[in-house]
Amino acid sequence: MAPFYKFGYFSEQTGFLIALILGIGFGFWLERAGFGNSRKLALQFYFKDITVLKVMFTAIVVAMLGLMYLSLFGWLDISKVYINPTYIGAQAVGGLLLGFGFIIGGYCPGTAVVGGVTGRIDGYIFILGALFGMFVFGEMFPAIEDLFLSGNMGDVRLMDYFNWSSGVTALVVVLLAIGMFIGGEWLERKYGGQEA
Amino acid sequence: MKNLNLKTIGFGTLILLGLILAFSPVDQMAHKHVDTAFLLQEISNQSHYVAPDEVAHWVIDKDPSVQIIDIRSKEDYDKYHIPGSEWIPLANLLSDEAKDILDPDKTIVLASNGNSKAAQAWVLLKEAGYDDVYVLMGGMNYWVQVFTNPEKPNGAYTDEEIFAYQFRKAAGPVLMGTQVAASTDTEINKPKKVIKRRRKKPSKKLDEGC
Repeated sequence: MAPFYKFGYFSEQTGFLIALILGIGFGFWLERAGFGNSRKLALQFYFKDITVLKVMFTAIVVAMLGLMYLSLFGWLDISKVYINPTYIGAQAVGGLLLGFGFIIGGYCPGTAVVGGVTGRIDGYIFILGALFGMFVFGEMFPAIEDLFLSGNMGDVRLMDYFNWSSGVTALVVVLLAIGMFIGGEWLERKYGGQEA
Repeated sequence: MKNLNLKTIGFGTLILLGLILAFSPVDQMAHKHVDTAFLLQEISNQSHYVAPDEVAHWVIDKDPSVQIIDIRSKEDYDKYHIPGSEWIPLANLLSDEAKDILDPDKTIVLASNGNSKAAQAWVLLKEAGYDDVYVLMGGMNYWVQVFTNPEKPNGAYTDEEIFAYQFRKAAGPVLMGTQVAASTDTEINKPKKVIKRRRKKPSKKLDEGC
């Protein structure tokens, strides 16, 4: 019965070890997908190369279907899977900030580390920038605490919000992803080319 | 042509999997599953107990991630209760008011007079889907005994035992609301040694994303 950690199949220490292995695997496959290269990442904002979008939606859909089917077969207690609480206000502002940083720097935090360890100087600069940003955030936290906590909706999922069944939500997300793939490739063809 | 076929197969598979889910009883299957064998294992190796000293540390630190629930009668609760503890009698444990008080994200410590009622409450809460629930070892009787009249270690005691004794002695007045033992032992300090917490940490927020 999964999640294994919640049912006590392994200890916290083993959990850290597993997290390390998963993290290394994550970084490895990001690199293999070409996400250590800020130029390639930045191309998505000009609709010239939407690999990032496809990879992200593939990950979302695969993980979602996997969790749903495991839960359907009774192998997973989905109520014990941790869900990040939603702070809609804070996350909208944070998402915009991250997007600006992504466009300017050509990396998001994870890919910056991937770029850095493959020896890219812009990756290191980006990491330093991110650390500086964390420092600034920490220092000005009292001033932005209200924003940080704004729009708290709790541990809410799409099905809780729309009051749909989980299965229907899954189908909608699948259709959404396929729409993204097709729309993205259409944009790719329209603005085409790899010149950048 | 071949490329197109592959893509069609991929999209088709996804839609099919989605359609199956849309007509499957996913939510009915997702009912909270309580592994009774796992509960039994926790009871038999007594990992559902938490020692009074540990709870005392949380009380003194005002640890916001801990919730102490007193399940005794109202009279008992009014007479004395652990500072910061909340009152839910055992009979009302699964009521709506209790649900408003109990926070599933917190570590819940159950306190009754002894062990048995709290252990019953522990099973009920576990079955209701609360993960992080513990029984105050020995209940309020032992709690009061430990912090009003701690047993001095004698003979060949270890550092740990003497630390525990000093902590109990020092924490007593704070926890019991008395000043009896406050002034006597001036050399007693709160032990620097942090007692290792047995409870599982709430799962850390791991940022997914790229």
